[in-house]
This record gives sequence, structure tokens and C-alpha cells, in this order.
Amino acid sequence: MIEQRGKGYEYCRPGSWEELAAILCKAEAGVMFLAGGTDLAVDLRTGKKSCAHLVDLKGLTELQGIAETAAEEGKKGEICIGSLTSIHQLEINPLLQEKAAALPEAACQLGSRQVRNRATLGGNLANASPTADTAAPLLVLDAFLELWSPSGSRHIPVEDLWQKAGKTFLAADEIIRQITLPLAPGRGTAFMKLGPRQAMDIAIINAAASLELEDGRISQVRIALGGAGERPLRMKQAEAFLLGKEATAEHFAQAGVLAAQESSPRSSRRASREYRLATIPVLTERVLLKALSRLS
Amino acid sequence: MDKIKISFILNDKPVTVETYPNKRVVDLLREDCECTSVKEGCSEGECGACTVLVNGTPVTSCLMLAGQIEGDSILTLEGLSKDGELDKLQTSFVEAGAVQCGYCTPGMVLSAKALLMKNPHPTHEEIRRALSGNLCRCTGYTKIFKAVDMAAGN
Repeated sequence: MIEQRGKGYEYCRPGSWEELAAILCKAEAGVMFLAGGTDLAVDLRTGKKSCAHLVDLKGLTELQGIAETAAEEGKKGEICIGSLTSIHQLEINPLLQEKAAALPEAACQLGSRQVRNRATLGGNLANASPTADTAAPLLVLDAFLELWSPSGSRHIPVEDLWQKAGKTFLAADEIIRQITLPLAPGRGTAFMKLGPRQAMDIAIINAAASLELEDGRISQVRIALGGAGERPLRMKQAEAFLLGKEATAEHFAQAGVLAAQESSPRSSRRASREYRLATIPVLTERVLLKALSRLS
Repeated sequence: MDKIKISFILNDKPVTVETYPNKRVVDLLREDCECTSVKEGCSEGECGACTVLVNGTPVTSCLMLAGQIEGDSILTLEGLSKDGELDKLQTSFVEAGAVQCGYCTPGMVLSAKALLMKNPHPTHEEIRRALSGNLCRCTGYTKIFKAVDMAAGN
């Protein structure tokens, strides 16, 4: 047995929102939420993270599931994903595969099969890794989050979740309850990941794109990168450059150069800043081409 | 830190264990339940040696805390053989010579078992994908894939 270096904590698993609220109101400080635990279990053991109260959210069964709300007059359709839905569920969901392909495409490349069975979408977002595989897809899908705390719930665009590596803007007693993807029928989306290995690795850079065309010209475009800064980022200059232009490989390559200019990657054990800057244009161009190929 | 009581189904039998909430499932199974087939390798969910099935799904037990398995059904290698008779999949591993040092074997067998329970006749590609989270550092994967092929009647 490996020594438990992490400090001890009280563990609880509330079965209802009322119970959760009561626990949070009573606990003074040091609360941490447990979703799938695939990152947190290691960090708590090694002492990288510590808490006084570990609140396991798995008892809130309504946090799991994927459902579509059909479009109504004046209102777009949307897909709602409970925050404790496993990465594996995203991977195999036909609705997402058809209407938001970038997300299942990212999901199937996250960790190992065993990890994907435990890891959750909400956990991947709240862990706030700059290269979280589900982050870039959600950014290009215009996802928004429903947050919950004992004092009420609020909605934010996914973009406003992250502060920097490992840090979100969530309040200490706040959790992600639901992720909502507004549907856009004429949209092509894609995800790509660059890492040292084909499988089971953390990305050096990952990228997602979404594209819509009107009369052969780009009428809507989103590009997002992980690993290009201290949090997952939209590449807004590259997007602005492409808007209204024809969807050609040349334009995509130019957008890639712009994306590298608006990135500020750091050097880490995984790759140097220079390597990341050199690969951003290539990956950006490729992911745009892939999104384009999904349009027809 | 207070101990907590955890009840779950282990290899088809209900068990209740009193333990600390920060105990990992791999340690709980090895130390409190005598399931020493569950091996610890990397301790961070990369190698798959500690794979067990939770409600039929393969997971790495080094990434799970004791409290997380409350009410779940756990299958370890100990639960595969019945009355001293090896499961067909285990026999295939023996016959195909798919075991060298043996450390990765329990995890390999359980990942393969999860696949065969859902899909009794997987393709070679499906077998490769199902075992992609289990690393073997001895012998490579040819004989391991062959063992699963044999068990699937391919």
C-alpha cells in the first residue's frame, strides 16, 4: 500500500439538494466536491490538494443524463447534459455524435477506458486544466453552465468558468449542475488533439472548431484551443479574420497563424512554449478542415 | 477522521466494511477483503493493473475512494472462477500463453470480461480498444489478444 500522504477529511454523500445545502451551510471552510474522482483522488492522496470535508456528489442521481429539448417557435433546440454524466456516456451518445460531434470526439480521446467510465464532464471542467479535453469543444459549441449553490443558481457562458490553470470562478460552495449546448443545425464541428502518444495522454495542444457556411462563405466560426494559454481559450482574432471569407485551406492556414499570435502558451514538462507556438497553426488549420468536412 | 461503514456487493456476496473514507478501493479490496488479485501499478490510473468491474464497467480502483462504491456491485478476478473451476476467459489466457510475469493479467482479464459480457463476439479492433487502458510491459499484446479471441470463439 502506498502511504496516504494526504491529510484526513470528513466524507459525506448527500442524497438530495436540501441535504447538500445543509452540509454546505454547516461546513465552515475547506469543502471540496467529488465527482468521478479520477484527478482528485490522486491529488488528495499525494497531498497536492487537501480539504476538511469531501462532498461526494454521486448521490444526486439527477446530475446524470443527456437530453434534447426540441426547437420551438422563437427558441432554438438544445442538448442538456447533467454535470455528473460520465465521459464514456458522452462518447457513445448518438444525439451528441449527430449534433455536436466535437464533444464525443474529444470524449473518446480522454484518458483510458477505465478513466472515461468514472470521469465526468463537470469534473473535467471544474478541474480547470488548460488542456482539459472537453473544454475546447464546449467553447466552440457556445455551451453555457448552470451553477448551483445554497444561495441560488445562475447561468454563465463556459468561457467565464476558468481563471487560470487549476482555478475556476466558482464560489467555494458552488457546483456545476448542468451544461447546455444550444443547437445549430447547419454547423460542422470537430476536435483534434496533439500529444506524444496516440492514446491515453494529456494533450500538448488540443483544438476544436465549428463552422457554418452561407452561399459558400463562412457565416459563423468558432475556434478554441487548449494548452495555448493558462486556460482554454477562444481564438477571436482568427475567428474575425475568417468571418465572411471562403472556406479554403489557405484561409484556414492564415487563421492558424493568427491563432498562434493570440496565444501565450507556457513551457511545461510536456512541451516547450516554442513547440506549442509552432504546432498551433498546424492544428488550427487541420481542425478547421475537419469541421468543414463535416458540413456536407 | 471518523471511520465510515460501506456496504457493497463483492463477487456476488454482500459485504459491509468499516474503514476510513480516504482509503482507496484498491487498498480496501486487498487489505480488508482479501482480494489480492487486484494489483497496484502506477497509482494514478494510467496502467490498468488495478482494474475491477463496478456494475459491470471496468474502472481503475486506485482512483476510487472507499465511499464511492457504496451500494455498487464489484467484480474482481476472485469472482470469476466458480467452485474452483476457471472461467472460459481465464482458461483461454492459460492456453494462449498470454501470461508472463502475471502482474497485468487480472486487469487484462477483467477488461476483456467486461467486453465479452456486453459483446460476446467482438472484432479484433474492438478487443484492442477494450484493452487499450491495460498496459503489459513483458511480452506485448499478441497472445493477450489471441486469448480474448479464443474466449470469444473467433
